Formats: sequence, C-alpha cells, structure tokens
Amino acid sequence: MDGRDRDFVQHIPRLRRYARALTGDRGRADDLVQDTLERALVKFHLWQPGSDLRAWMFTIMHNVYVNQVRASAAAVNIALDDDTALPTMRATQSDRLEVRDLQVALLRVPEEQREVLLLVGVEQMTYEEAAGVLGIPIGTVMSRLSRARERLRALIAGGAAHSALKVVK
Amino acid sequence: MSELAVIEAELHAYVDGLLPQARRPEVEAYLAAHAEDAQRVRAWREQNQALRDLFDPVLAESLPARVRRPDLTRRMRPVLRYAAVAGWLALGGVAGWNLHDYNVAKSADTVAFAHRAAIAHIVYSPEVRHPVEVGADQEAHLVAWL
Repeated sequence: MDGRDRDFVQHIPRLRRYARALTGDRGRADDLVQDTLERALVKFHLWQPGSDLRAWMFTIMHNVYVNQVRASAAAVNIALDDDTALPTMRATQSDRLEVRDLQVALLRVPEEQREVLLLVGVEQMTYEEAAGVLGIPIGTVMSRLSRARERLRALIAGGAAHSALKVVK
Repeated sequence: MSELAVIEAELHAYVDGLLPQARRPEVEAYLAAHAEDAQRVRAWREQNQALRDLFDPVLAESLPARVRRPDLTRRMRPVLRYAAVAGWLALGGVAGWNLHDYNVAKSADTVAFAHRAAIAHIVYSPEVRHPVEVGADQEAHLVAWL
C-alpha cells in the first residue's frame, strides 16, 4: 500500500498540471485530481503491473472528466461562452495579457480537442499514448490535434487583432 | 523517396518531436519550399511552448492536502463495504435463528395436533357403523345399538 501511494504521489503534479490546463480553474482542477486519485485507489486492482501507471492514471482522469462535463454540460457551456468570462479579461493587466489570452483561448477550444492538444503538447505523450488515454483511434487523435491547433491559432490571432470584448461581443 | 508527399500528420509529428529521424530532412526541405506550412508549423511550435510556459509552474506548486491525501475519505469505502456485508450477515443470522425458534414451536404444535388426530383415529376407526352420530329420527336403531 505504501508503495502504491508513493507511485501515485509521483504522478500527482502532472495530473494537476493537466487538470489545470483542461479546466482553467484551480479549484475545479484539484477536484478533478482528487476524484481521479480516489477512483484510482479503488480501481487499483485493475491496473496491470508493468504497464504505464501514468497513462493509466491519465485515462482515469479522462473518464472522470468526461463524466463531469457530461453531468454539467449546460453549466460549462454557459460559463465559457457567457459574459462571465469577461470580467477577468477586463481586469487583466497589460503585461499579462498574452498569458490570459492563451488561457481564455484554450478554454474556447472544444474539450475533446483540448484534451489531445494538452496531452501531446504539454504532457508530451506520443500520439499512441494519447489515443490510449482517450480511448480513440490514432487517426482521431491526429484530426483533433490538427483542429485544436488551427482553432487556437485563429483564436490567438483574433484576440491580438481585436480586444477580447469585441471578439465575444 | 524524398518525393513522398509530406502529409499534415507528419508536420504535427515534426512539431512534437515524434517524426522518425530519417524523415526529418525531407520534411524540412518541404517546409523550406512551402512558406505557408512553415508558418503553421512555427505557430504550432509556439503554442506548445506557450502552453508549457503557462502550465509548467503548476508542477512546482506544493500539493493541497486533499490531493496529497485523497485516500482518507474513500479508502474507507471498502472497509465500510465489508462492514455492511458483516452487518447483513449478522442480521440474517439473527433473523434465521429467530425463525428457527418460531418454526420449532410451530412444529411442536404440529406434532401435538398429529398426536390428537392419531388418538381420535384409534378411538373412532374401529366403529364402522357409527363413525359420527346417529340421527334423532333413527331412535329404534339407536336403542338397539345401545
């Protein structure tokens, strides 16, 4: 049990990084990590020793996240598209504008594309690993990655050209 | 070989460092000749870098307690589950025991009833002609019988 805890703990920082990027919110991210770890502990007997524990834990996080998104689909959509996102933009200091822009733009990339983009771009997984974590064919990984990158590029280009207020209207 | 068309998946793989080494020069040659794709590749690379710059600091944060010790709440769950199993077993045992007593009492009743029935049988079965009673209108027969 101690060994298992130690193995788990070693992956927590990366799970938190991924969760933070995915949700864009510290509290929600840590909720997600907590739920993931609890589920991993309960399901630990299903993990095959010798296989990649990190990939296994990311798979669990993906499943937990998908369930959460499904459960609160309406609320999330409102939170992302509604005016509620604007006050943070308005309050942004100019020197941090770029970082905020990226964060906001990232949240405007559809979840399923965002997941691929983050697993590959931030977690630096191979396409095979990402496909395994998300339970999708590798061709789907590639197409989502492509769409995510183009979407993000368009969002950032748009955000730089206009003020965020105009983009959202 | 170098004539093989470069497909978009290879551009992504190039950005992500996942392109086989042997293919790199060909992709680079392709990018040198296609400014628009080169521009996209540059943008994607910058995205990766910017995302890492943005989220890597999370790795250095100290872990909140609830994330560090996630097991405190739900690790209890299997224990609770076993407790529940034991509880139900105990309940079943108690119920079964009481039911047993109840059945024993009932079967004692049954034995007593059977006993009385047997006595009644022994008393009445030898009498063939008058198993139950003689009607009032058969007085003569009754007198003769008595």
